Amino acid sequence: MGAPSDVIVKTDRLCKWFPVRRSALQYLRREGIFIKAVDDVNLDVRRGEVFALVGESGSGKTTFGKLLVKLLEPTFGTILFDGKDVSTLSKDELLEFHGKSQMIFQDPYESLNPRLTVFDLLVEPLRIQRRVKSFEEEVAAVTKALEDTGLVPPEEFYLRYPHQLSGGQRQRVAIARALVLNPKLIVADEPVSMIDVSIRAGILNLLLDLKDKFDITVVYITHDIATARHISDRVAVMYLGKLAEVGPIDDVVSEPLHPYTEALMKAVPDPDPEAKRAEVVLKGEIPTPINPPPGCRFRGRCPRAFDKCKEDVKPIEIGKDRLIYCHLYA
Amino acid sequence: MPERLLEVRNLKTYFYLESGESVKAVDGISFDVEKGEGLGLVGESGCGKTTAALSLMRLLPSAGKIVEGKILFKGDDLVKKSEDEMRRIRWKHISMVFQGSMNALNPLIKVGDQIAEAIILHEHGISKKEALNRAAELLELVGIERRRVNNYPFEFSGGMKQRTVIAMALALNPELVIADEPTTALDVIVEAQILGLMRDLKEKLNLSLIMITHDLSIVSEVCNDVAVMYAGMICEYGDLREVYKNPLHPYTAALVRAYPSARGTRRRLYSLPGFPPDLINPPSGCRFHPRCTYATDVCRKEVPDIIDVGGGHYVACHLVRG
Ligand SMILES: Nc1ncnc2c1ncn2[C@@H]1O[C@H](COP(=O)(O)OP(=O)(O)OP(=O)(O)O)[C@@H](O)[C@H]1O
Ligand SMILES: Nc1ncnc2c1ncn2[C@@H]1O[C@H](COP(=O)(O)OP(=O)(O)OP(=O)(O)O)[C@@H](O)[C@H]1O
Ligand SMILES: [Mg+2]
Ligand SMILES: [Mg+2]
Repeated sequence: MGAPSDVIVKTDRLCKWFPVRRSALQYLRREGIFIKAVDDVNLDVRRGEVFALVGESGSGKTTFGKLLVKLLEPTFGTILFDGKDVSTLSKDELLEFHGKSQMIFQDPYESLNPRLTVFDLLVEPLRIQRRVKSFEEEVAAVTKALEDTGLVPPEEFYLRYPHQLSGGQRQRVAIARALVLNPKLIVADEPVSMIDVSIRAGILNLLLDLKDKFDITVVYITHDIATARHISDRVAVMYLGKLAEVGPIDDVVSEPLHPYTEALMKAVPDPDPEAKRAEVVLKGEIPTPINPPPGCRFRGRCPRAFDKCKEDVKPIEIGKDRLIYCHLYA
Repeated sequence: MPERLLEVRNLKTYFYLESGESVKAVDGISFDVEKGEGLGLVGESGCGKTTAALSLMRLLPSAGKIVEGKILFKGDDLVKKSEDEMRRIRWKHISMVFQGSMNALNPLIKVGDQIAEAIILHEHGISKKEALNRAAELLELVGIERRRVNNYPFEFSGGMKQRTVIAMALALNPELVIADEPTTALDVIVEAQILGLMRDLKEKLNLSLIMITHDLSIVSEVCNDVAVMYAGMICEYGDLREVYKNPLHPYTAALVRAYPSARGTRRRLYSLPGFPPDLINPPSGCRFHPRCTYATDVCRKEVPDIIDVGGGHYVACHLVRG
């Protein structure tokens, strides 16, 4: 494990429970029903790395990402950013925090205001952050962000509206909008899943290049292990709001230890027709984490479940830098 | 010799816009599907895959017209059929799983009733009870318990809904099923299950399949052949393994390289320059030339013919000679 200063964000017992509508009776009995979208997650994201968060739909990836940048408030637990508890920030510190940690979303159609031009879209965060004092400064900052994201010549893009851009260009504008603020952390939530294959690689390579050039830490949220493999250093596998496994991505991919990671790896399609994927042994589909019973959340679908799995799992350190949340390894 | 079920020849389907412009969504494509075999129709968003499929079904929206070409189904040209004649072919001989149809199931009607209704509509004289029984059998065929006929769609997961629409496409024992993006929006694990199901059905029922997808990595599960589409045309076509191992068209080569593999060695992903073209004013000559590193003058001027370079491997590129 690296020294504490190597950690840019640390979550401690982080939880986000969404309340579910209750019947009158349940209300009278004071029974709470919750979707435990993120439940007791301890993670360290290291400075300068690309950290992938993978898992099936509904496993809590987006919720976790929003918690990291404070688009959502945790139900319990804390987030330390540069060693500081983000729930205790003053108003000024909060503004600074929002400048340092940015999120990019899956759907560039939704995340960009259709009534603003590219120029205005990029200037808006700068004004909110009070980073620019003159029009000249605005133009300089916008031009640089457009150039950095490959939208050249920048003048051609200033006055365009989102609908006048292709999907790939739109996602680049979304990245540029995050980039104008010189963030330290970018949480990219499925940034390429709605983008065509032929331009997908361009966006992912762009994220990698920006990371190197500006020392940005990237949390890459995806259900696509193949792209995660090619751009990430470490990975956390989530299942129903909890962690299954954390470790260096090459190790996790070549030797998955948690039975869920193993199933996920077997299911990953391979473009090479010679490499048929193995039969998927998992039965059933991912359930919703509504008031889940204690114990391992995966046990209902796990081919290797045994009695002990009804008890809560503690992380087990295995080998170099790997954590497994599974009783099989106790 | 395998029996040829479908032969598509030089098919062109255009959309006529109110502005007077036309979208050349499918612009001269040819391919074959043999009995019991699978063809993958692969290409990026907007390249004309769904339009090609709707042309085969003769279910184009009103702005869309087949302007040229033949669709020979067992030797019979579907382009020339009247709507009445098509009604006897559609679903019974050729059926389709529409793009996104798992989200189009009627939320107010029980799953079993929806399948039974589709059967009754096409099979005159069948009783409601018989149809429901068939519906239950079909659900079993796609791996859902019989008793779930009484469930409403909201009680089904995404994967179960996708299985249901596949069951509906199989209701009248068709010989050819067109599946348009059958696993998009599903998780990898559920996707693997659905593809496994389609492969089993194909073998068990000796079905022919056209699998439409933007994802090259999922066709190998169920297809022997692949046709790669770019901007309304097929740029490369042939045996899947051959095309994957030895891609001859620069676009196919780029696609293969742009696809990351989770298992292979880690590398920087290849990124293709430029963006997919507009089909109202497609680029002159070879439609891929503005993004092609090898483009020469002839590529800008002349549309390349698609030629057999040997062993049924077809390529449309000026740089490749037969
Ligand atoms: N605002 C909300 N209110 C109630 N439940 C929510 C809310 N947001 C998310 N959830 C639930 O929390 C769980 C986790 O959702 P989340 O969007 O974080 O998953 P995800 O891993 O990002 O999935 P996907 O891959 O589909 O984007 C899901 O069961 C979801 O329905
Ligand atoms: N009803 C319509 N009117 C006009 N143009 C249309 C119509 N339907 C499709 N098009 C156009 O025809 C072209 C091909 O569309 P099509 O839906 O066949 O693409 P696709 O390959 O199935 O794409 P996707 O992967 O996004 O489903 C696109 O440029 C599209 O905008
Ligand atoms: Mg999400
Ligand atoms: Mg389509």
